[in-house]
Amino acid sequence: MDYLALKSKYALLGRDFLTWLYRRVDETDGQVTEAGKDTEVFFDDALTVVGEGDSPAASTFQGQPQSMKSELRAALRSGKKITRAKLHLIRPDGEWSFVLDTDEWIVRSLKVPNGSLDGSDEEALLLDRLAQLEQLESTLEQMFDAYLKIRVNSKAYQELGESISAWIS
Amino acid sequence: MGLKTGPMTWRGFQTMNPQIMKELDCTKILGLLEKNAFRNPEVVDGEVESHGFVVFDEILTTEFDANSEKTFVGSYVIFSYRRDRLKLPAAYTRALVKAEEAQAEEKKGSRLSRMERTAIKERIELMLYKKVIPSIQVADVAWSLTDGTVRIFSGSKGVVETCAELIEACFGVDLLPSEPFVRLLDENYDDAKLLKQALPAPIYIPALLNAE
Repeated sequence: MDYLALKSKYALLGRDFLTWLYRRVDETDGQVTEAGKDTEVFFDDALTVVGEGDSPAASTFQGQPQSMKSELRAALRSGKKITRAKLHLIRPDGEWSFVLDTDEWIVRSLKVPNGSLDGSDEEALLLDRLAQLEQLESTLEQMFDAYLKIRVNSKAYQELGESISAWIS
Repeated sequence: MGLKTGPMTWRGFQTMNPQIMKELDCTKILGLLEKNAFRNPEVVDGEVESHGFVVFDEILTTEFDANSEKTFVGSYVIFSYRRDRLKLPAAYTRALVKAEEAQAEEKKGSRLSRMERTAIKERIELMLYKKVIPSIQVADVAWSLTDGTVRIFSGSKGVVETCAELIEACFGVDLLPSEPFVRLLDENYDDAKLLKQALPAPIYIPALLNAE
């Protein structure tokens, strides 16, 4: 596989996904059905947008999500896309907070809910943490696959573009 | 950053060689980890950095065989990667070299030749490298033997890359980073199709707004 050629060709896929997710979260008030049943998704207090081109300008927003909304929309209107965001996932069994870096799909600083394990059984503790991160990865993949279904369909993707421009204008 | 405690940062990779995975058993894995275990840089041979694997969460331990219960956890192989770099304090090194040169010139009674200066510099550097405490970077690795996913827990791009390269060399596998476009390969796209441009052009919001 020509990894580098594919990577450069589809480099914007992750940014496009986060921009789609931001809009989904905004229009559903966090009840993103694509994330699974009883799961709420929120954008937290840090977010980075990047323009296109060889040396694109980047802007980082920090603060309350509501207060950054208008500036973020202005950045999106100028053609920038979200490349990194702090996200919050709420499920009946706990809350996850993490930063998703979409260019290389790196999950940073994932804080997982404290289980009932007291730390004396190291193996159980490790397996619990691994299970939780796998659960998170699976939720992210579910959302990404939902976006990808639209992304690979010319008609659906064109409609998405139109609805995003209507939402943002 | 690590797997054991605190917030976790990781990058995922997919093992591309199911056949090699099938052939790996516990004894082979432990043997290969031990073969690629961390060792201190050989300063006398001019090495100023070194990397290798250590037992999970124990940066000083490389006896994998004796610690197999820490390495095989459920269906995972868990170990740590350690990278050491020796770096001399530049100002201190310069000052020592200068002082040594002055002393040698006084003893000789004339200016030192270029070769003599180089010899002094190398001697001082070797003496300091033997004493200096290395800067140590560590990344935990969790390799799922069920689905072949390798997760490297580190926030440093450089550490993740060198660790992935060492895993590839150690086990003879190819690791594919789990990046967004890789999901397309699971959606019945092969790389030849993807190289030809299988997807519509990405949305560019300013163009859509201007078209309205």
